[in-house]
Amino acid sequence: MLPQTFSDTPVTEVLKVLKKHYDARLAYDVTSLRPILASVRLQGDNLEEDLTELLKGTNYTFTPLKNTYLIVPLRVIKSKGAQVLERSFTITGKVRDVVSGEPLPFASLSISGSSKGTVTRVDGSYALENIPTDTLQLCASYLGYRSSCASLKNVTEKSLDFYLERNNTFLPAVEIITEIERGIQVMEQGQILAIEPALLERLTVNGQPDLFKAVQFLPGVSSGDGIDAQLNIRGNEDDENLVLWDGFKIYHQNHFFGVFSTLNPNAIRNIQVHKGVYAPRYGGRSGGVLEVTGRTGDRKEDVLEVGLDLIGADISLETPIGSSSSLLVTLRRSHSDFIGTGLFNSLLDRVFEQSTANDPDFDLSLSETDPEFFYYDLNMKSSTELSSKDQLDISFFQGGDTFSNESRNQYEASNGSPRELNDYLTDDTSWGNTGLGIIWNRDMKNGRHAFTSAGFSEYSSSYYFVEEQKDFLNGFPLAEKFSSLLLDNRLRDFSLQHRQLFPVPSGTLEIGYEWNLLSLTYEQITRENADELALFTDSTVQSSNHTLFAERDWMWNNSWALEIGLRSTVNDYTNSLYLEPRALLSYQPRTDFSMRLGGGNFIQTVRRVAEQNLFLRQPDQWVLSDGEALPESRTFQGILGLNMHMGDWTFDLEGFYKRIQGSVLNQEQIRLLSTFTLEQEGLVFGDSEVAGIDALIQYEHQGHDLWIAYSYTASLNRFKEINKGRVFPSTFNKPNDLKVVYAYSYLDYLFSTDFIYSSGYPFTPLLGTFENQLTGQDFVVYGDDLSARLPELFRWDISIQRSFYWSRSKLTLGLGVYNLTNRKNIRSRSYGVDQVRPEGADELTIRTMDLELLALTPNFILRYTLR
Amino acid sequence: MNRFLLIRIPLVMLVLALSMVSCVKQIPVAEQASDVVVVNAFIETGRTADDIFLSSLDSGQGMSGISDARVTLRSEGAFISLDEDPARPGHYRDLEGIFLKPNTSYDLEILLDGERFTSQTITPPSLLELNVSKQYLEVEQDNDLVFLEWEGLNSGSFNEFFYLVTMRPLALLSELEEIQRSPQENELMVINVTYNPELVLSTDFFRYYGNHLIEIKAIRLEHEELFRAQMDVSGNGASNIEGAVGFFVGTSTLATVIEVR
Repeated sequence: MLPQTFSDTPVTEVLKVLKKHYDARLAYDVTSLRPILASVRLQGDNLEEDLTELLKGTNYTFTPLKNTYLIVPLRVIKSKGAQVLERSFTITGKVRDVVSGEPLPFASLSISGSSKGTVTRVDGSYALENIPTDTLQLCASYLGYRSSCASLKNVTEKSLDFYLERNNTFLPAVEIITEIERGIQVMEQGQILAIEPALLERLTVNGQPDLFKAVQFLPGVSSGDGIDAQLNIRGNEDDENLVLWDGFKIYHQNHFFGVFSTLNPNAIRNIQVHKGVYAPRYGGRSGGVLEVTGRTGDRKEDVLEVGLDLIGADISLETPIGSSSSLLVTLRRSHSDFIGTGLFNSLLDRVFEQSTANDPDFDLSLSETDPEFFYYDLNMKSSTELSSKDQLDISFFQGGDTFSNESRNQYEASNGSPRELNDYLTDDTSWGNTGLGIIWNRDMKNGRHAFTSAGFSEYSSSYYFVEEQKDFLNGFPLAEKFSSLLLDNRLRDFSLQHRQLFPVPSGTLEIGYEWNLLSLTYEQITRENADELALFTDSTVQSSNHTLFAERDWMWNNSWALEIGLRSTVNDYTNSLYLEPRALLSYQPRTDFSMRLGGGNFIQTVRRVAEQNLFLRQPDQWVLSDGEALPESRTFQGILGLNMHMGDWTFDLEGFYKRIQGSVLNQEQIRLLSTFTLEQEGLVFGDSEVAGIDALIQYEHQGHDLWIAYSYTASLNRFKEINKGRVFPSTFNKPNDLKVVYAYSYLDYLFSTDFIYSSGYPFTPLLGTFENQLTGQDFVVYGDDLSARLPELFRWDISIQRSFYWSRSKLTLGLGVYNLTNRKNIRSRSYGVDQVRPEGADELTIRTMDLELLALTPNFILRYTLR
Repeated sequence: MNRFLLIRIPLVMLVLALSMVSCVKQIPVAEQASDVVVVNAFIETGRTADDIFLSSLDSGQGMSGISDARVTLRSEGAFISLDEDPARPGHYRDLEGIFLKPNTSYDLEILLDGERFTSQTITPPSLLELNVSKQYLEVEQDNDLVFLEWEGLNSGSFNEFFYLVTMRPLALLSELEEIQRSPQENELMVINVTYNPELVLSTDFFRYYGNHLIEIKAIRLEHEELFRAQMDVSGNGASNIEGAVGFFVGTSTLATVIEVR
């Protein structure tokens, strides 16, 4: 304890003593400081005096930044009374990972003591214009990385690159306690929520790290199905989200019938979620945006990572190519087709239950069934710095699922007759996505930046089903029935985009053009008899969209900012011009407080009208709005929010109101969750209003990460054909939704737990039966559609992991438990009604069938990394 | 910015955000089974309105009758008030003895606790004559059949009416003797819907020995869906009562007795 005299002690050791004595946050470069030895006596009365004494003669000094003291080389700090710059200036540069050299997209750059700042582009580059002349230093921060600050002394027009060090990297026992944003980060005055990719691993409770499951912990985001890899953002359907991976869209976003998302966490560099009013360069969807930027790979050395868990295995390889290129290849495949783990089986059971619950009369007692299933995904990305100003990224993605099942169901006559019905079913299906994105970023003179991209995305589904029924009496065949169905569904999306960013007085201007070509093909071949000719139907529709977009932002008084944008699209399929104005006003009087007010329109013309359900012989089906029979989805959203930082705490609150026109629903699905035909029978259209509040409280301190996300969402749908026009909530609406996530890392251990409590899902209640007194027939009466709520949902998960390090390799072992309290959470309720009354009964027999979410499920985590 | 503003601004924002939410009305909670009124109102030409049954839904305890309703039939400016049978709660009947007319439009109005339920039906013309080939069926005789033929109402190629044929034993269940045969799912009462004024009955229609009442009811085609559905699992469509569920149907009836021996 202080006072204490140190003699030839490494400065880093002295700093540890100071940190403990003052309970202060100190940030320093341990590698640079460790060799420096200090001989000094420190009093322990005043931290700044002790730091001054310690650093005397070391070429290092300190500067306070927020609640942290940065220990930095003397040259980066501008001394008091230093020369004041003559005029404002522009700084450009790149932000990179110090170890791998990878550029870091969407990193934050801020001028200390000012609300002025920017974020890096997808290639890690930035330009900050009109920097005030009295600027002290520029700081770069990135989720999961240590912040870095640099002096801007005596600069007029220069390039400044930042190299950030990742937290909890390969090196164990990190000593530096510094400004690290972890877990999630509120960016752009609350308009964007960023997620640290490492968080996905920390929150692994269900077999594999999963992007969508982590996103579901954010306020305002929920899953349509409690656990599934599906995102409903502020009342919009999940097909209304724009999911972008390196410039191309991903249409079918999950594996294994919705259990896992298709986006491999090992290939992810950056995750951004836009729930509110976003820039006009994003379009084509009426809900939120999930923008994922893939990793470009290590530019300095080869890295091999291998992972194995109870669901599958993965491998990723990163390699530098020359001095300016890198290649990343990641492959993930489930081993479910040859290793049937308990976790996989319980997930598969759930898929079966979910599917069979759709048909109240379906008999689950399958006598023989032999399902075989696997999924895979492959990501490849190469990144090349063609020059100091140009970067070319090429990203390829392919992911798919394959399922085959042969089953034989045998039914015996209920009256004891020797009659026997045998039903042979064969399912053979595969579906998946392919995507290719080519992105060219170019830094130009005077802070201008050009972005050119070409994106191709394909979703395809092929489904083959055969059913043979054989009816026997005393072993003699009475009748045979045969039917087969082949469904082939393909959606292709090709887009070209060019946009340029210009510095203009008091802000920036972005102007861009996008061409998007959509092509949808559908084929169906049916045979009702093995000897008959097949019936063949096919159709292809195509839509071409030309879009111009522009956004201008202003900043004045260093505290007010206004962004106004417009997206205008000419669609040749509907022959319509779509205008989507968007605006956001923000006020940031100080660095730790901001408010925002905004609104915008969002239009979508490609709609998913059927969701994949294997057992209902149904793939995803996308169709194009024709503007009449199938209207466009049009959303207006207005938001009002604030963001505050207080010490280790961050508060974010946003109220929103949405009006969604052209919502599409299937009436039958609401009540019985049954299928509907591809001719779109049963589709009804209406309007929705959604209003709510999203609140986020986040705490980060020395290895502790805590966030509390709460959302209140009121959802009102009005469809003429449903409930006689009376309002009802969305199928996935949960008015109160509370999520608490806590992670703590200590040395090589990582502990995480999450807790979810929300209102129950809405369902359609069966009120009772009545009898026709004339005929004795019984009738069933349901209440209004979706007018009742299932019990509240509650879930508690925990996971603990430990990493072991050997020179250049790392082994992570862990254990996770999903739904620790084994709470029976109900996703949906349907009813089975017997066709006739049982003998002697006064009433019909009604069976209530609840589809329960996953019960207590332990799982094991194993990951090996070699560098 | 001072600390006071820092506290006040979030509060103002919170109030504004909450007001956004409150702009959207809350969805009413689901109605309960007890809130749903079931109406069984079948009226016959040439008879008085002798039994209109109001009840709650059966949610496990049976359909209990609803008392203290005002039940009125209106037609051509006149109205018939129905009174509740004190011995049978929920059953309303005409004590004035007014016979209902064929080919006539009747409006039903039920007032209950300030709520009003209405419906309308048009009685069919009267069925005039029923011919039966014989008055009995013999179980032991193979393929024993009875031919029913009545003077129908449909004319030309377009059906305006259909016929509901019901068979029920004329004895208490405890007194009935079951026909011994291989198990089959015959119910106590068999319903048959036909569009032609004829029907053939065999012993397969019957489960018990003894006399059975055979009723043929002519019903207008617009009410067909109320009878064709075995049960309603896809919505509350099997009802023609505004504000409630159930039936208000005018019929024209002929009846005979067939013995199964």
